Amino acid sequence: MTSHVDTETLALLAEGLLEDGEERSVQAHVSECAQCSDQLVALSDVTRVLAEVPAPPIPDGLAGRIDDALRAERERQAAASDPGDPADTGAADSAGAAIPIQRRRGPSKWMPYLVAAAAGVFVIGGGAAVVQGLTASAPPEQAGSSPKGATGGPDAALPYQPSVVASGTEYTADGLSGQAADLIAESEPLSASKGPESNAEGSENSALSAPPETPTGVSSCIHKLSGDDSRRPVLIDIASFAPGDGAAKGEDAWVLVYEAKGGSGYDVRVVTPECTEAGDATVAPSQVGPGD
Amino acid sequence: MNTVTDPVQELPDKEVLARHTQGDEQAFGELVRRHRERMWAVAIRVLGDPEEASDALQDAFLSAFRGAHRFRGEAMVSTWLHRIVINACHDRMRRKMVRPAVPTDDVNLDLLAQQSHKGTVPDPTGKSDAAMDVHAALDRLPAEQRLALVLVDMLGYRVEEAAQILEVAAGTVKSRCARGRSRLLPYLSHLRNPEPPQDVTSPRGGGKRS
Repeated sequence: MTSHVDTETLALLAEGLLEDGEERSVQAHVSECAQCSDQLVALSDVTRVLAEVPAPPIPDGLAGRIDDALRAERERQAAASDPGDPADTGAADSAGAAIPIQRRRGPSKWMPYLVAAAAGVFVIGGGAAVVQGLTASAPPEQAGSSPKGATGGPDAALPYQPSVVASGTEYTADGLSGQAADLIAESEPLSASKGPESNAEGSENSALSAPPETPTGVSSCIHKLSGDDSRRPVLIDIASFAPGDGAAKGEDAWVLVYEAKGGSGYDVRVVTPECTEAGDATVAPSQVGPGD
Repeated sequence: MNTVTDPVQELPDKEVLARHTQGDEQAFGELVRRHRERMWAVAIRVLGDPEEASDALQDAFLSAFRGAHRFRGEAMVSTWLHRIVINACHDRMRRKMVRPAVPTDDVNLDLLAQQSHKGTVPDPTGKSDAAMDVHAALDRLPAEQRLALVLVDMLGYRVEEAAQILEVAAGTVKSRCARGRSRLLPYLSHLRNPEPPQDVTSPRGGGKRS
């Protein structure tokens, strides 16, 4: 006598998901086993029970609340695009020119800051390498062009200093874009509140927890990934990633945030510590919202 | 600047959304009006709690408002909105997960059984208790199984529709549903029929393998 079939196998059978051979043997068993065929009926009752669950109607006032929230958002966006500081508007306009968004109140206000800050840290990172190069009595101009010439920790190989955080987020394939948008938004004060100059003070420019050690391999991986492309991430999150195919648990991964070409939003790439790409997404400027 | 000729109410979703990205201030409100009931139905079934579902719905419409230009037009606006609502709910589920996520032990089963027995006496319909039981049981599922079951079993969406919303293959939706149902079975068997057959395996029969 064959042993009983477990519930999950029965459920997969009902969905036609078993392999041919297994399907035949399970069918054969179920046709002779009252207990298992009852269980099969019980499984279809689960669907019926779920379908019959009543749902409360939309609460009074929720529609109004949502309208209010949207109105507030609209006003916030309008305020953010108001010409204020002349320097801001200049930067916003130049960034806005490349952005294929028709909406006039275009990119969020802090965007140019991050762009500027990224440019700033690039220069400063280069400067640090210059200093390092001088003390090592090597020709300074090689610091930027040949990263391998720089000595020191793994970070010294990068001629710039991206923000490195460990948000603890478990990124998923489905949610990557939104999660990355949250990450960028949360990291916003670092770029908006400090000018490029103050970034020289160090790397503690994170709104999240203190920046962790950059794992070895990140910088070489970024070099490997970028190829001829000179883009470098502006933000690195040491986190985990679940590809989203059901049972898979999140695995260690680095989420690399690049400015998108043309300045419109961000490109996000997820790599494993082995430097294989596990996923990617794009984040639109308005997804991260205007800074307040 | 923007010459609005057609009243936005008469346009299809995609055009209304395009109007919004072009700066038409009426457009997004129209989309909200069209879809909020349905999106509520999704959020309340995923989250079970009206407060949470309200917050998730507001989050979702805000993020759709901000991210409208990301809509590429390859999907239906409603599919896109579903996805955003599901993601907003998923975020809330993750935040709520502070309590231990390990399900399927005797304590939980006993608790559930007691609750359902209590409910059988006074409640004339048994419906609200059933809803509570179902949500307590759904809480025990991995998020992706729960989302698939909400769309397919609770809301009656076709597998293909659910697959588009969740951005996975149809087969993945089916297997998530199947595994979810087998996990739910022990918790829901008391809701099945007036006379549950006595020889059904003990509730732990299905749980052990998973």
